[in-house]
Amino acid sequence: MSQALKSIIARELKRIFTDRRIVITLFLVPALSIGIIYSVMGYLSMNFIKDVEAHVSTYVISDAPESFKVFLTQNPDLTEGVELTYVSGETVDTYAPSIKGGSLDMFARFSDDFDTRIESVESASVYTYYNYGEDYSEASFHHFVNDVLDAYRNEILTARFENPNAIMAFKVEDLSETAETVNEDKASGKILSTIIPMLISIFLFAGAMSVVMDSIAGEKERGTLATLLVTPVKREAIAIGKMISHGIIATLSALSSIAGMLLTLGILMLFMPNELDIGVSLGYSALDIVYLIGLVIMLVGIYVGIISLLSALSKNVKEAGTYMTPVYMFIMVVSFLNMYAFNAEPIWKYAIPIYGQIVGLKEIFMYQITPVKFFVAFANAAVTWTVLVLWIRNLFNNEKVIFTSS
Amino acid sequence: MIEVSKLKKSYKLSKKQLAMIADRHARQKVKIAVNDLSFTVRPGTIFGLLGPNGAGKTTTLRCISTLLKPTDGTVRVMGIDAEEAPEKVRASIAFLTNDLKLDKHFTPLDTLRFFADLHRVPKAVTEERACALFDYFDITPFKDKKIGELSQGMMQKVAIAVSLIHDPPVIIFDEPTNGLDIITARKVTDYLKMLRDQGKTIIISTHIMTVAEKLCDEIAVILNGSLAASGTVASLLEQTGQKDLDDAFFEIYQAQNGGVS
Ligand SMILES: Nc1ncnc2c1ncn2[C@@H]1O[C@H](COP(=O)(O)OP(=O)(O)O)[C@@H](O)[C@H]1O
Ligand SMILES: [Mg+2]
Repeated sequence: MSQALKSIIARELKRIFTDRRIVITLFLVPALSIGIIYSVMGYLSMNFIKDVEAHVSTYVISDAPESFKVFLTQNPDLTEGVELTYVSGETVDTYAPSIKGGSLDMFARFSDDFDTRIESVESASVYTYYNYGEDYSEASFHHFVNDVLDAYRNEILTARFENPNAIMAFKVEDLSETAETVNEDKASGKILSTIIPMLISIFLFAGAMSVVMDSIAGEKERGTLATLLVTPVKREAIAIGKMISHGIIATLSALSSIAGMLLTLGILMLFMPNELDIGVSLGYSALDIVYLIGLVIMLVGIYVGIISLLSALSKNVKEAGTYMTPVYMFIMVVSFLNMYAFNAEPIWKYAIPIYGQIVGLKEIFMYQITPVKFFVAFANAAVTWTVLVLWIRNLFNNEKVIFTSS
Repeated sequence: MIEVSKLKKSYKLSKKQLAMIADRHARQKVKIAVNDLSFTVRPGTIFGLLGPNGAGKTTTLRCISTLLKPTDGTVRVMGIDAEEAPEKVRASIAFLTNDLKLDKHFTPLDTLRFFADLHRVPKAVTEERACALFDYFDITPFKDKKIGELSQGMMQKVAIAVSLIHDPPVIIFDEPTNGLDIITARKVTDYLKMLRDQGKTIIISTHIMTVAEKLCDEIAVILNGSLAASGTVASLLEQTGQKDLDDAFFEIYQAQNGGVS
């Protein structure tokens, strides 16, 4: 990084962190207001959370092999709170309506001759069906796949220790897509996970808006941008330096909102000691966290770029503000668009700037994001950033943009 | 060294700007602010652009400092073409004009250090120069106060100090004594003379006769964007047959406007 870029970033950060008014509006107010909103929401969803915990999951498992049944009787803790019914020769068709209707949480079928196949190290599968539009059902599915089947697989592999070729033991295939088990309307229980991507997106934009407008349109208005432009620093460095520092600020501002949100949730959970595992039981991996941070950075960069561009085109903060309103509305609409779509999204959606990243955020919480999808989102962000930076650089080189007041 | 050759700068007027011109017939889409202007400023001299408001002085100085691109003609600073290598030109100039402002949120010392960084001045050199400039312009007691809390005159002195922190060979000051009290104005002009004696190339603009007369080694009288006369004060007096610059200027002005004022 060039010295000039560092100096610009350091100065922008100092500018913001030493301004009490900005610190309050950027970090304190959102955290507090989110805390209040979440207290209300949390209170409303408290019943729901208690409900999930108290809920007895019901699974129907067809053609379960002997080894599986024995395994479960040896590990009773795995099926605690689960009402398990074994059937044989049944297909999902019989149970799809009950899954969709909510009276059954999950149906699983083992492939034929499962035990024989495992012994002869042939491919074997477990097919699962659940309703990912519903929380009980989703929780059941994750418990079944990540806890029950995983432990079962480990046991098979341990037994097979002498045979190093058998790495997989068996596959799990979720076939919910092919069966009528999903009920799109029954999404009321998903508030917590669906609302987060939308809130992140909106907080990021709101945080970026106030800082960037002041730093670019405001500096133009006050004549301090031109002072920067008579130094030998390249315009790109000025544009990038400002964008990086504003990105940091916007991210921190969004983080403080999210912290407020989590803190409130934490406090709510204190009142419900038994429900502490609500978030953890969903088991986000380290990779999911990387995806989350990555997507947030992409989104922040694009937002900061767009706001910088509009600010550079405006004479003053007031004018920039009038351009910002429709953009903010647009961002809100795009963020909301996704809330209630639970199917895995097609990859082309990831190629759309902003929309792709929000879809990605949502899919992290739905366990549907893949490395390829993440990469497509990154590629679209990189292209968008480049276009925005070059565009802003050209604006900084444009005398009409620098001297709008005279 | 500054070489300005056949400089022309016209502004395309926006609809709003056009509407503000009262005389309908005078409304033209482009405003020619500077036309066919040529001059050279040599090292070790103070060159003055003298002209009334709206003559095109600021426009000329902005073209030299690469903030504006000439419509026609060329500008070379220290032998470098301003359009070809604007960054190099900006590295070798100090540019001061009252519409370039300093961020009021920072202190003079912070600001000086920041701009020194942007000009890649080594830290130790920065501290030394900051001390010297602050001392000379009596900023030292205020160096840790926010610029926003300083008086107008003090702010302008800080702006001068900031513009000089990288000790550039070329100095471009637009109306440097405007808005300053006589004592401060004197300090500024004395400093400029000192810089001239160090061999710097200095160009200033002014509409004040006494500033031009007392400070400038060479003067270009600009009227309506064009060069009306140029030379040393003595030669201008000689050309017009007048006793002081005030009268000489008026003579030149009347000659250009066909004797009607
Ligand atoms: N950005 C601009 N757009 C249109 N006209 C301008 C602009 N800047 C200056 N002018 C016009 O150009 C002429 C010269 O202006 P300027 O260089 O500021 O003169 P001076 O500094 O000598 O007072 C004036 O008539 C002014 O109105
Ligand atoms: Mg002027």
